[in-house]
Amino acid sequence: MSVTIRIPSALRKLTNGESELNAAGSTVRELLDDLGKENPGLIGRIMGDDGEIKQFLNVFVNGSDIRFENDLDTEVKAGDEVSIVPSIAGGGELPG
Amino acid sequence: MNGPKGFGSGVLDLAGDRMDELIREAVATVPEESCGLVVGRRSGDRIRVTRTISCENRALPTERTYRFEIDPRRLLAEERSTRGSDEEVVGFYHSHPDSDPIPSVVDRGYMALWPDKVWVIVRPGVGGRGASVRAWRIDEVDDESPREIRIAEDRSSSRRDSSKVDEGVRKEEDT
Repeated sequence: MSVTIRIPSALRKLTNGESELNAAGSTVRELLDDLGKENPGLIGRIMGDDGEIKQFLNVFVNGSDIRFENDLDTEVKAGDEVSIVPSIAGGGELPG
Repeated sequence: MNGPKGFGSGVLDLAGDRMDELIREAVATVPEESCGLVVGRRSGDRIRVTRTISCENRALPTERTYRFEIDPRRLLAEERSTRGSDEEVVGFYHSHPDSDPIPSVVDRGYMALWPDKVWVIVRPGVGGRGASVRAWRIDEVDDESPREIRIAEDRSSSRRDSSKVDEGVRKEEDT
């Protein structure tokens, strides 16, 4: 079963510029494992050594943050929209 | 050491009344930071801002005076609604209530994740006096030394009220 994953521009150097990739799997973990077979460098940028999604990246399945679902075990099915999105944050200099 | 570089190529076209709106929002949000999405049209190295979308600051309540965070779902939703049109989310904006509109160390860390976005930073000044708006972007992913983008301010469609807003002044002392 194939699911389309949207890749953020920050990682497209590792996908030959592709903004979407297809992967097979029934959970987010399986999708990422499958992606890693052809794009090992990409997975190193998405997941930390602890096997979790990196802190400043977010994965959404149909608009739901997997951190509030079953994390990497969140189930996916054909037609689902999976997006990897960096955090949008920052701010001024610390006061004082 | 990494830090902001000089002006890069490219121009950000921003209507004067839209700039005023960003400053007004930043003033109204003091002491916290305002934030949102910047939507526009790209034409070569020129970006024309067509609208801005104010977003809730999702940073921790105790940190919103010096931090902002936008729910990425706001970006996903806007990307979905502009797909197939000539508009796109071209960047993000936020305010620095107590510092110059120059990317901070924290800003630069996040900017490095967004190689194709413009970061508009607003300094509200004191009630809008001494306010300024500047725009920045990085040359490539992982670059933590943003370049400034020249803002071409279009005042043709708005009347400037310089008693309330004075973007010309870039710096006002923090006293």
